[in-house]
Amino acid sequence: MTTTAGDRDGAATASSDRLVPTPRTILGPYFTLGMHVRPTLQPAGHQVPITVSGRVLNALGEPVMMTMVETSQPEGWTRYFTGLDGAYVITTVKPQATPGRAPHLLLLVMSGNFMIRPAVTCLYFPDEDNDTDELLQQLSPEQRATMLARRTDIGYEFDIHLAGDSETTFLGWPGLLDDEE
Amino acid sequence: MRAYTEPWWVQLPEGFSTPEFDTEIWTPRKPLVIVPSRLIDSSAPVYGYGTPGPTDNDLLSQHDGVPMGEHITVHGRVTDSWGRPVRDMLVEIWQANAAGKYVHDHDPTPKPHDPHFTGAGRTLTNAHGEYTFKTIKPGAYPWWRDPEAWRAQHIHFGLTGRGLTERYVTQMQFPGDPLLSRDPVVSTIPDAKARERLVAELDWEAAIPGITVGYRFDIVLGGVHATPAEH
Repeated sequence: MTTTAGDRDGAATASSDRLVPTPRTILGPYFTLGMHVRPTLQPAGHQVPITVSGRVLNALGEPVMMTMVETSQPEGWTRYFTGLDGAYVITTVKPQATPGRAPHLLLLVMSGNFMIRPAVTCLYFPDEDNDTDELLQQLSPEQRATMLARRTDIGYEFDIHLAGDSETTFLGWPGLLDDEE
Repeated sequence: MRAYTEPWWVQLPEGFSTPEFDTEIWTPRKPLVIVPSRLIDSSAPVYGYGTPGPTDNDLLSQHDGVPMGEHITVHGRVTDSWGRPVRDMLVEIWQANAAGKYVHDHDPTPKPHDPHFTGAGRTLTNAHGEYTFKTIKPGAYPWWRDPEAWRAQHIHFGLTGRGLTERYVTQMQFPGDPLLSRDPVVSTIPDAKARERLVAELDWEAAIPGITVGYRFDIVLGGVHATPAEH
């Protein structure tokens, strides 16, 4: 068994004993007080710094403020919060290709006022060979297009459409579905 | 392909006068694309820039003076729904001061700030999934979206695991709080057992005699691919 001695709840021993999860709640409007911004991942060694910016938009194309945007990759993670203009800008390092996967950033978005769970997508780079990526191969051209950043003078641009006709392709995975059981 | 049915947002129950929230505009409508875990695995370290300092979990000592209000110790254990502890999770908390006022530009509440209290803390869970904070009992405050609703006394919790897939946001309520039934966030939880999970329990063993009242708030992660501490 994996738990420590002296547990008050005790450990679940059968699926019927599984603990009731703590409900998820919204971040609320004041989350920037406690959840720290870290917009920059410092490059190490030969890592190439890149800037990724964009806006979080609703179905009407309006900016979504007070939204947490995070990126994650094996080298580390960043976190940013959108203001009135819905914009985010982070500096990270260019991720490496791995077997079966083109270089990509995992990207998480969670609005402070109306989302109790984050939406997750992948950001791909237009100047990389994405054809062999095992995730992209499972998607339609329309879905793939929403996950491709644009090259700009200062780096990469990637708008996140939370809803609407241009809705970004958001991902789930088996572990996420635990509470459906 | 399985459709993903968990909600992004929970509508308020009857009894609150808040306007309906238009999910068509604000939250995703398409089902999630379910992909194998191996394709989404990204275990970024939670250390580095964001590493908590040794006193970051003591909100009573972040200023030169002593904060107003009831001083409390809040501790608990983070587990998955099998009861397995989740170690090395970054636990960040934020809360109002004793008057129900946040140190935040967006807080419209006409209440005083406490120069000796910020209301932000952070720590990492230990090998047993445990965390501890010292802080004050926050004040309740009226909810800006609905004048008939009040936010009961609560502390927000943001949990960050090693992978981007491990993000959990919840909040701790206080036992016996008469405003729990007028709280719009608590009231969105339809299941009574789940609602109880949000309420901490008085824990005399965690109290510092003569100094703090102790509360225990265990957090059970559901719906995430949580990493157990020991196999």
